[in-house]
Amino acid sequence: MDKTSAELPTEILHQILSLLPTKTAARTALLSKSWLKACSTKPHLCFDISDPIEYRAHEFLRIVDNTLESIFCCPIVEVEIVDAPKLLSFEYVNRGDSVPYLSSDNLHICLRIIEIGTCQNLRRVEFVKVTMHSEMDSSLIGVIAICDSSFFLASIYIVCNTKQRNANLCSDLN
Amino acid sequence: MMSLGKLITLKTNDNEEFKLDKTVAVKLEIIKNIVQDVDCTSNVIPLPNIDGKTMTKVVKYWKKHSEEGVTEVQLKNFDQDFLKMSHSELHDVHLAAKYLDDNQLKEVIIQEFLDRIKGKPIEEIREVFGIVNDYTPEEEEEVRRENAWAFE
Repeated sequence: MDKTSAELPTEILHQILSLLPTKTAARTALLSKSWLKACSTKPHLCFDISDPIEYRAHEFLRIVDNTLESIFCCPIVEVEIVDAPKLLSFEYVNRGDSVPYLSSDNLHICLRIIEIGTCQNLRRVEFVKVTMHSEMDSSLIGVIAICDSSFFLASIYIVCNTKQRNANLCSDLN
Repeated sequence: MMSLGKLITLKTNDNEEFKLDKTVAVKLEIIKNIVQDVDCTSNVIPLPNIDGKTMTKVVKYWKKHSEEGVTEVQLKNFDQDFLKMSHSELHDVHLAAKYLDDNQLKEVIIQEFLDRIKGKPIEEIREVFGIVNDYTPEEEEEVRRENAWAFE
């Protein structure tokens, strides 16, 4: 076996995984340890309920829950929820205590973009113990609010867990 | 294709030389930058991170994609054929494209990686990508259990 047939670098794996539907991507964790690592540090999550191969409608919420649960401890850069009319609440709890991500280099790579598509019933988005860039708090709420003016988001909670900030942001948008 | 534009020589790390029409070469940002710096009389650009075997493929891709009057269909067929290489060769070309900052080629390779994963069983993906299963049976069972939702 030649040397280059060794595993692809995590960077490429992330690129590949970001383009795969989340469920298919999660399956690749079984390939080997480096794929598992890539899967659990994947910076982009996309849930698209309109993809019938990936999700049957009734299991969509469970899949979102499971995925978020299994990667809570990682610095998610992007979360994208596409067309989830039944989604009522979206909760992101970082249970990882940010241990691997203490360096200031990494602060800014946590949770940068949240895109929420057609989720008419979404009422609540909650982020707990999210490591955030200090300039990010207000813009984050902005990003969520402008995604789709037709959904009535009742509340956004963001509980920061950084060294610089320890604030609870609560914003009611109606 | 009888342009009399200046030729540029790209030299790989195993001293293979590729002569390219300047109009083809300067499409690449990195080469454009080097060309601006290099003395006009030498025109040899060293590529210390790329070997001749890989560069042959890259140049073949560039030439086809900058051919005058080439149709979409021809390019599609060419790409299909071009991508018929082993996983490790694909990886090498991706690294080269990355070094040369060729986004189009990078995307084509990543898409090929995707196509080799989509809809394939785990065992087959391992085979295609030359992935060694480094899990113990217990560990594998645990990963499968933790990601059970993905295997339903």
